[in-house]
Amino acid sequence: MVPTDRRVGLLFGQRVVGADGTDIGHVHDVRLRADGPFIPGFGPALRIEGLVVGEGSLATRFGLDRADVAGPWPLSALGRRAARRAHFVPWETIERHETHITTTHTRADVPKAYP
Amino acid sequence: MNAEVPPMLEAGLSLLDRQIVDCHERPFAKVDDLEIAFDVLGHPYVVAILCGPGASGPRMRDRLGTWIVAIWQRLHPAVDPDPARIPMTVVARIDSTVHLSVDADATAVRVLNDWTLQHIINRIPGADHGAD
Repeated sequence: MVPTDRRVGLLFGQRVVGADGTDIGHVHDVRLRADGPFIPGFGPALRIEGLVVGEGSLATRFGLDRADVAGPWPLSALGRRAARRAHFVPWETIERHETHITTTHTRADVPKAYP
Repeated sequence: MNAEVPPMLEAGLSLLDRQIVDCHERPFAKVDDLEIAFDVLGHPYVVAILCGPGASGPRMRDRLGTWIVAIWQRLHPAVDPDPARIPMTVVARIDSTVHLSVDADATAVRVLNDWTLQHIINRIPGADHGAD
């Protein structure tokens, strides 16, 4: 079997805890950037840049928690509000544990996911 | 030639659960998970798309997902089966769909589909009366 630490899908929903022990939220998404090692036929691989982390909300459940969400204004307002609250945790700062993820950032200094 | 891929994307929004089509634009699977490897500096990058119950089950994180994986493992002819794997080398474009540069028959997913047809679908009473 493919080891669980090599599956992107298993990162989703994991709790992320800051360096000071405070809860930052749960993994909502995994940000990829096409600047990894060269893969023949594909080009630069999709490298995991970091995790989009936020609190649970109705907008998150409906997948609306994006800065550029479009649609009827109540939904887009709800989505933008959730996006403003989301944090971006760089991969270099995290450590994976069995039940959660820790980061060397504190909740106060972790950057916003959608500045 | 390199694949047409946005410079930055989010896996959950733009890849997971998306339709996969082959070089003839025929839909044949969905992206159930992504497999990563680590480069020499320890940075993770995506090396393959994983498909089928062995990939989607663990993502559910509940009893249903555990059952799906258990049933899939029990029915699968291999002792320790792996999910069907599509290497990124055959991904040609990522937009609202994942486009491959090869025919579906050339992928491991075809083997999974054939296996499902042979061992499950064809055993359902009436499965041989499709044209009736």
